[in-house]
Amino acid sequence: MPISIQLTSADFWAVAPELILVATGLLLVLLDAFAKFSRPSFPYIALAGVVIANFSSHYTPGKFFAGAIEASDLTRFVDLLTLMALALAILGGTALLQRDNKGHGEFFGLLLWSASGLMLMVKGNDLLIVFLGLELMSFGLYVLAAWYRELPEAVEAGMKYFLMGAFSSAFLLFGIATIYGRMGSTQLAKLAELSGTHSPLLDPLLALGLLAVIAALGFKLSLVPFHSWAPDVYQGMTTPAIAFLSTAPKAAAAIVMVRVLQALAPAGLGEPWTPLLAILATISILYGNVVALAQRDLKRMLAYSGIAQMGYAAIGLATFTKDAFEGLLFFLAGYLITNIAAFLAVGVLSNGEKGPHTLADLSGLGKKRPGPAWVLTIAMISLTGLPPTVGFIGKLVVFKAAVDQGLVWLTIVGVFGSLISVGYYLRVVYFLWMKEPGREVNLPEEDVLSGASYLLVMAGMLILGIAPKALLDLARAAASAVSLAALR
Amino acid sequence: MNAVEPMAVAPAAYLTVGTLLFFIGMAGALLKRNALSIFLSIELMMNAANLLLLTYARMRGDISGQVIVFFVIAIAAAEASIGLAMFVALFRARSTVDVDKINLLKW
Repeated sequence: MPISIQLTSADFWAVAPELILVATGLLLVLLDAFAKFSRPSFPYIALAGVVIANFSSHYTPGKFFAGAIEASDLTRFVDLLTLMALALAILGGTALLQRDNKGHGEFFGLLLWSASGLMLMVKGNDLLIVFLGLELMSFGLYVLAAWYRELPEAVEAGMKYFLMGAFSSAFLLFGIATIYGRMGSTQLAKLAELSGTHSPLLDPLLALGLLAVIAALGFKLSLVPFHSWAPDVYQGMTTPAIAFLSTAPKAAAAIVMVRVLQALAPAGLGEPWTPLLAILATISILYGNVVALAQRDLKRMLAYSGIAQMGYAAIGLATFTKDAFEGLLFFLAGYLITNIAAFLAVGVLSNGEKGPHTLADLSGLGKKRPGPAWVLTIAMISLTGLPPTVGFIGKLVVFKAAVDQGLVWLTIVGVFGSLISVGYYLRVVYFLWMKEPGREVNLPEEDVLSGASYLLVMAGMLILGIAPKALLDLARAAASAVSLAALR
Repeated sequence: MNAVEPMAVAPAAYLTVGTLLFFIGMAGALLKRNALSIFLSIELMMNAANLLLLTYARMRGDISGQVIVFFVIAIAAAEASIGLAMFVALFRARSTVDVDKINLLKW
């Protein structure tokens, strides 16, 4: 039986941002091989690619490539977040990399390819595309984790990330196989149609498949008990790469989890699944916050903080209403800006990428380097969830949706976790401004690009914290692309 | 003269083998201490999932399961190239690929 697929230019416009990022990455790798003298221009070329990709993503909503790709306001939102994370990582990270002479074309290439996989994963209306996108995203990040390959710590981080990442993608594949076997389709829209008629999650094999998918995506989100890679990888990975890894892929994984859950349980999550996600959220929040208190390495502390933050995001997943999804999208956007700001500032306020990033090194740097010190201060306040920052609004909308749905105890856990987190977030601020300078710290130079990144993240954290309406409207439009039940 | 009928194997048998292989691979990945053996076990898990996909595709008379398997084979090859390069870099830096001895990062 011949199968013919009609492709039109609209199909390719739907993936235009991905295509542009891939092409820019290839260009950078080729330039690195044949025109080494052009290396100083690589960040600008990469940024140009990101900007062009942003302007090319005004596609019309709909299904493309025979229903395998779905473009909507949601994918546009994720494109925007991803490109923003890319731009900030490139802007702020270039000075750090060039200090060690590590700004090869491959670094930017891998970052751009990884981002294109991420955007493809969210556009996937077919579980195969979701899997391919997730793998493309991960492959770039595995290599970036071991970017300083002469450093034993970096290679160790790369190996751990690779082995655990491959392990989790085997689970994703097993889940996809089981879902396909029970439902007869891998298209999310078709699955939602098939699920609508009966209650498929009572089927034990299908439940096993969904559990495997949740485990694989929970790994990307670093939810407890799938978190064990995060601290080691965060500590060993170079700062600009971890700034990207710790934000955009988590946002994408959370959104894909919502889409898969919606496809298999269109009428609402119900009994075994809401408590399961609520328990994942609870232990992530408590474990992440308590263990972060004991950390002396800043990147490791941010890893445990990230585990706790994804616990707050999991509250939004467990609530699983339209309001909760809106809140989740807003929270993820705020977390993206804040966490990138924190990592870039930590990278600049340290002895460089090759040494540890200890808390003690921050002593008294507020007077020496007020720019990055202010960025770090605001980022810590935003991660704690205090006004007037974007982190406050993000937590507020997520918690409010949970309360509206009757998950009051989960909200109490979230607020309690935030109280614990004051201990380690504000300790960073204390070291920056109140401590006397200790031993000499050999700070990296700053350039125009990193100055631009400070301005952008400061503006993002504060303006969105004071006037969140624009982002809330974007999140609302994006959330309506997935038909979740309104309030029960 | 009766022609020898090819013995039909029930699909359930394939599904059982696939599931068993997946869990054997999982046990290997969790218990082995050599990075290469762990990676081999993970490959076993992926191929077990491939077997499941093929069986389901055959049971349903649907081609999309087989299409997925082709993509997965390509993905696994790309993954192997990254993994082996990573292990070479690791061996150069540490002269071992034993995951118990690779413990610089801890608190």
